[in-house]
Amino acid sequence: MISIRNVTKSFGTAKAVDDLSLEIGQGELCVLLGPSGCGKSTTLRLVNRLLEPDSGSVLVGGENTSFLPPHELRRRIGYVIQSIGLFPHLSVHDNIATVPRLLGWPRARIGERVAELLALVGLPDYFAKRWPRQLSGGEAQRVGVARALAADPPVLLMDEPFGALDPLTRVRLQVEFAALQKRLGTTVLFVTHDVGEALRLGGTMVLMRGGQIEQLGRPEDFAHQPASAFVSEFLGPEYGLELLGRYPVMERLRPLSALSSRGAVDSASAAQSGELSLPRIASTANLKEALSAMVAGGNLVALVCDDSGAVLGEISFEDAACLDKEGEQRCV
Amino acid sequence: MKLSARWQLDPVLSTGVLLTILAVSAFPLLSLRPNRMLSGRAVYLAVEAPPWLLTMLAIAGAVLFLSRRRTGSAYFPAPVAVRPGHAQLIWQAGAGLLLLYGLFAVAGGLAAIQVAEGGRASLGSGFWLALPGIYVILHDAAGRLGRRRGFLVWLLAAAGLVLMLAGGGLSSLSVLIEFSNRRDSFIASLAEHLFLAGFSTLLAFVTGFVLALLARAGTWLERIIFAVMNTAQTIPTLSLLGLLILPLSLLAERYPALAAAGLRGIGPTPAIIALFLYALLPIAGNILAGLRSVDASVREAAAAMGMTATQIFLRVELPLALPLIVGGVRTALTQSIGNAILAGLIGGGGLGALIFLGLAQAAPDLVLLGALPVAALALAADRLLGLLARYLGRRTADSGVYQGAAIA
Ligand SMILES: Nc1ncnc2c1ncn2[C@@H]1O[C@H](COP(=O)(O)OP(=O)(O)O)[C@@H](O)[C@H]1O
Ligand SMILES: [Mg+2]
Repeated sequence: MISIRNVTKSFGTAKAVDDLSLEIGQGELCVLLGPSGCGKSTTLRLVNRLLEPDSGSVLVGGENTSFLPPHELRRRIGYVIQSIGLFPHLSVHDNIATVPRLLGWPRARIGERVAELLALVGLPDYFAKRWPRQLSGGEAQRVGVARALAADPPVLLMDEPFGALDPLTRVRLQVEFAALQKRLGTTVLFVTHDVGEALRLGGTMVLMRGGQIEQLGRPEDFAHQPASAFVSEFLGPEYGLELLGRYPVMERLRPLSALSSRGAVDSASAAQSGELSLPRIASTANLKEALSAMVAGGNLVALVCDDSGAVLGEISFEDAACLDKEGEQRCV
Repeated sequence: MKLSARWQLDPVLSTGVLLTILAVSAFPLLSLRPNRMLSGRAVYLAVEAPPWLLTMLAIAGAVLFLSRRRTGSAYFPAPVAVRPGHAQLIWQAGAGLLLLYGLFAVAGGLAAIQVAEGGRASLGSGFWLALPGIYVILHDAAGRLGRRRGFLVWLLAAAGLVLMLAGGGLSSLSVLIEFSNRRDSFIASLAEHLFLAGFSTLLAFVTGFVLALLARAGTWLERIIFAVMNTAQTIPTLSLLGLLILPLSLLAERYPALAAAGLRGIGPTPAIIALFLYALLPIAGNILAGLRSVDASVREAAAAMGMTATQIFLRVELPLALPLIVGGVRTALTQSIGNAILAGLIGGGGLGALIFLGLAQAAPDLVLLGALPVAALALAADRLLGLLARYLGRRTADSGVYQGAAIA
């Protein structure tokens, strides 16, 4: 869907993007990762021609972008930035309606679309009448995403869109956005310098350094075969643990063993009977959380419970500490 | 004297009330002269007004004087900056308006009595001193009542005076006699004045817009444009008028066609040119500042949504710059209305002509007939455009009040 072919872009003598090539398939989510100043934003802006490459070419949907008028190209590409850039003099409705209006949609269709988008990004419909000044950071960024998606663009570019939000809101929006992207099947190029964010979003990771691609692949590849010392250093010593956060415990669930059913009493009755109580985790938890619960509970087995507290099964330390199902052999 | 601990004097309000009371009791309200040449006799409110009126005024003044009540008890005094209650402010505004109407009504009525006996009644120092006192009372109340109610106070003040004027209640005052004697030339002067100020501001707006766009495009251009405009702004108004006379006369002499078109050393043309040059800086400066005030991320978002340069300008930059642009027009127009008085010195007409004629003839009423409308026009232009700028900026201004539904 997006092909970046041998693109170079310099500012003065410094090359911000250096002979970079990258293919992003239809419906894929590609995360550009790297330290600040490595050329992520520049790469992104070369796609919608906010910047023009010095050499090389960019194709979107098979079309060479340099043959299209920039404003027509951009109406087909959503763009979300950290500072959001909502138009302060327009209501939320009119902000979201920007691209449909530019495309000349009829009024009724725009109204329907705005209502649909507000629901899509999880805002109640009365937000349509609000002004950007009246929104919290998280609400404003939801509107920013809705505005970018308004004309149902096949491609979405996002430059650290959640970077300015508080940690709780940030994680919530990351998770919601990842689900939204899967549902809509939009091709997304997402820029971030935050490894955790890249992992929560999933998709292909592209680690950049000095305007070039240092490594590209699945998050697991970065752990198993880091391309250089720089990769390991950038991902950090806890990267392995971070990776576990991508896997839900339900994938590793085992039936309750005889041994642990003795521990499946709740902590109140355990305290009374003097028996051991196993740590409990929710069925929505991930492997990292499972490990955390085991460490906190001082046991190598944890019980997985549903919403009502009923025990569904158990998970062992060995199960929880493996990245891949195929990797189980390696663990045992 | 110790009043109840719950009552305390408000420094602003009591200053206004004291000034008003002092003005009407110790200074003459009117000055009477058998004719324009002879010197006058002073008319004091305390001497001429009926005793019931004086008693009422005294009571109103006393109550106003003491009317700022403190919230909190004697044991737990409220902080100094306690906001007085709404009812008190409305009472204060009402009393101020009554004082204003009363002052004009009494002056007009006393003048009518004197004029019937065959004299001339002009407003005295007591009247002119009482006005700022009442202004302080009203301004204090209007300012604290908030935007809408405050505007209503000024609207009521203006409406009352206009009604009194239209109803003839003030027509025995010498200024208004002067007015009815010169009605036609007054109206012509007023029209000229509005044209001088309005047309020069309009010209400055069109030119300023182009200059601001040029200045935005390049930094060296900006420096040149603003250097020239700053210089024009620094030259004193009268000097600029004087400096314009010579080159314009020479031009007119050499090219009679230009002279026929109205371009001469004296008359309205040099006045309009001077006013135009003065108006240029605030207008162009504010347009540029307005366009520059648009956040870079907003501009980037607009471009990334697929707006063309023209669309970005018309749909994003211009609407966001509008409050500041109106602010520039406000400064320029208010200033032009005042400066247009000087056109009267070089044969450019306008209300200044009346003022300078009055000065030459030592006729204070004629001076007032020119000066009062200029002051009223300048005040009105300033207030109305100020309101417009605030209205346009209501959604984006930092001081904007949150008016949406409660956050769910
Ligand atoms: N408009 C610009 N003018 C000059 N230099 C720029 C400009 N934009 C980016 N750069 C430079 O290009 C390099 C890459 O920037 P950028 O793509 O913004 O990095 P990142 O988004 O990865 O933090 C940096 O060294 C930056 O200083
Ligand atoms: Mg960046």
